[in-house]
Amino acid sequence: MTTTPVPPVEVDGDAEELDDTLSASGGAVAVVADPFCDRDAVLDHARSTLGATRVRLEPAAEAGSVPAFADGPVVADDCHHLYARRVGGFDPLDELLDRLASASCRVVTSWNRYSWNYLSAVRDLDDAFRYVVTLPPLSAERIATTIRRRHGTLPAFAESPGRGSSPVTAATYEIPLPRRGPVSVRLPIVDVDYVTAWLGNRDRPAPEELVFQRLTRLSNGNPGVATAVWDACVDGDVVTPADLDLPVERTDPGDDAAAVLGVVVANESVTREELRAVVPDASLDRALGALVDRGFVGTGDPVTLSPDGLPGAIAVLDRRRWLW
Amino acid sequence: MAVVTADAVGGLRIDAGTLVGALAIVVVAYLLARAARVVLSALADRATDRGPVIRLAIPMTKFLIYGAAIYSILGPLFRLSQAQALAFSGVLGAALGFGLKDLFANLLGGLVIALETPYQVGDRIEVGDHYGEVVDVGVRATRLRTPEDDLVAVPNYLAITGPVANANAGDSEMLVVTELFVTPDADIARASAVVEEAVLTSRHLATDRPVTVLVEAEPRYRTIRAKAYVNDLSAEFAFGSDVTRRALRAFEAEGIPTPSPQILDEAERR
Repeated sequence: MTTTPVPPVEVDGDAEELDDTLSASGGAVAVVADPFCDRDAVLDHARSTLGATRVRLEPAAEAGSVPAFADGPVVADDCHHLYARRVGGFDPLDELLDRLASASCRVVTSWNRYSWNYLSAVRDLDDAFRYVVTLPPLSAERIATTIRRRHGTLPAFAESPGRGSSPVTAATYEIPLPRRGPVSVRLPIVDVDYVTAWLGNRDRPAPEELVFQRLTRLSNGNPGVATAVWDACVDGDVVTPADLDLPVERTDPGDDAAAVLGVVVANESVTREELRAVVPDASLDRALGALVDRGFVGTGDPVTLSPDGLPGAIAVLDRRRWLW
Repeated sequence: MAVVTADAVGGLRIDAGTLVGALAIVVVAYLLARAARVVLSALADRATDRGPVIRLAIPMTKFLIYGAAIYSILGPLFRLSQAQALAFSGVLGAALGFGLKDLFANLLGGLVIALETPYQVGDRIEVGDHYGEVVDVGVRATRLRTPEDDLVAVPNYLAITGPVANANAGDSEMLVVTELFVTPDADIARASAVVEEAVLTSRHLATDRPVTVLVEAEPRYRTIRAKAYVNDLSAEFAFGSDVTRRALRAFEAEGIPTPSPQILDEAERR
C-alpha cells in the first residue's frame, strides 16, 4: 500500500506550514477543502505526526457522537456531518463547539468547503479554530503526477484526430427540446487549454501537456474529480485532448432537486432520512431521480456525490446562487 | 411628388420622401431598441453577478437610440430662420400647455430615471400605490410586475414628483421581513430560536448578510419578526413562505402555542 503524499496547503493563522500548525502548543486546526480534494492525506499526516486517535463522523451524526477531547490528540474526519439544514439541525455542531472550547488536547478536524463557508457565516464556526488549513486547486503538473501515481503506466499521448494541435476546438451542449428531450450540439470555441499552455512556454504545446491542461480545467484542479474524469474518458492505448470531454449540462433539475443537491454537495454523503427533511412537501425519489439522471449523485442510502458530476452540480447551484 | 407646405412654421417643407424617411427611422429605432433590450437582458441573465450593471444599460441604450432617431428626423427640418424658430416655439409652447404636458413630463421623467437611476430593471420598488418588480423602464412609463402577476405601467413622472421606495437598489439580494405569532404564555426564547433556525437553514438565505430576530409584545400575542436577506430577488415570497412553513411545523412539534386567527384578525382591524 502506497502512502498518498500531502498535497500543497495554505495556512490561515499564525503559522506558515502545515507542520507549524501541528507542532504549535495549542489551538484547534480545521482542514477545509472541496469534496474529493485529498483531505484524507492531510489528516493521515496529522494523525501520524501527533500520534492521534482518528475518528470519522458518519452521515446523520447526532448529539452525543462528538468525541471527548481529553485523552490525547484527536483527528476527526468529515465534521460537516455534524449539522443538518433544518430547525434543530445545529445541535451536534453546538456540542462540538462547546467541547472545542474546553478541549485539553490538540484537535484536528476536516470540513467540506461549502459547509465550512455556510457554518462560518451562520454559526461563526471559523472563530473556534486557531488554524485553518485549506487545499487550493492543483496545477496541471500536480494533476499529471496524481494521475501517474494512481494509474502507473499511462496510454500514449497523441494529437486529436482530424484537428491536430490547434487553438480552435469544439464544445458539446445539451439543448432541451420540448417533446424531443435533450439534443447534443457541438459548437466551435477557442481552445483555452491550448492558449494557456502556449502562453506558458510560448511554444506549440505537446499532446501530453494539452491533455493534463484540459483535465485540470475540467476538474478545477480537484484531484478526485480529475481521476474520475480520466477514468470516464480514457479507454485504450492512446489518449488525445479531445478524449477528455465532459458534456455541458444546461438543464436545471428543478427547485426540489436543486435543494437536495445543495445539501449533498455540502455534505458529500447524506442519508435519505435527512434529505427527506430538506424537501418535506415533495417527492424525494423524484428529486433524486433527476439528480441521478444528470450524473450528480449515486443511487443508494446514504446518497453520495459523484466525483465526475461535481463540476456540473456546482454549475447548477452557482446559477441559482445556492452555493456558499 | 406631393408637397405639403406648413405655412404655420414659416414655409417648412414636408414632402412624401420626408415622411417615408421619418417613418423608416422610427421603425429602425424601434427594432434596434427591441434588439438591444433582448441582447442586454440575455447577457444580464447569463452574468449572475454583473446582471444588475448590464440591466442598468437598457434604459440608457433605448434613450440613446430614440434620441438619435429624433435628431435624425428633426435635424434636417430645424435649419430654421429666426421667424421659423419663433413660430415653432409658439406651436411647441401651445402643444405643451394644452395637450402634451403629461407626455413631456413622462419623457422627462424617463430621462431622469435613465440618468439618475433611482431604480433599474430587476429592482423591487414601490411608486405611488404600486409595488412590484421593474420589468421595463420605458420612455414614457415604467412597467412593474406585481406580486399578483399583474403588469402595471406607472407613468415616469411619478418617479420624479413623488417618493420611490427601492427594496434592493440594484443588488441581487434584498431584505425580507417575516412575522410569526405566539401566545403570551409561549416560551419566547425557544420560539425565537426556532424562527432564527428556520431562517438560517432556508435555501434562499443570503448567508453573507446579517439576520435579526426581534420580539414585540402585544396584549394578546407576541410577534417574532425575522429580518434577513434573500439571495435571489425572485425568491422574495418563496423565502418568507419557506421560513413560515418550517417555523410553524417546528412550533407544532415542540408544543409552542400560536394565537387563533380571530385574535390576529381583531388586532389587525384595530
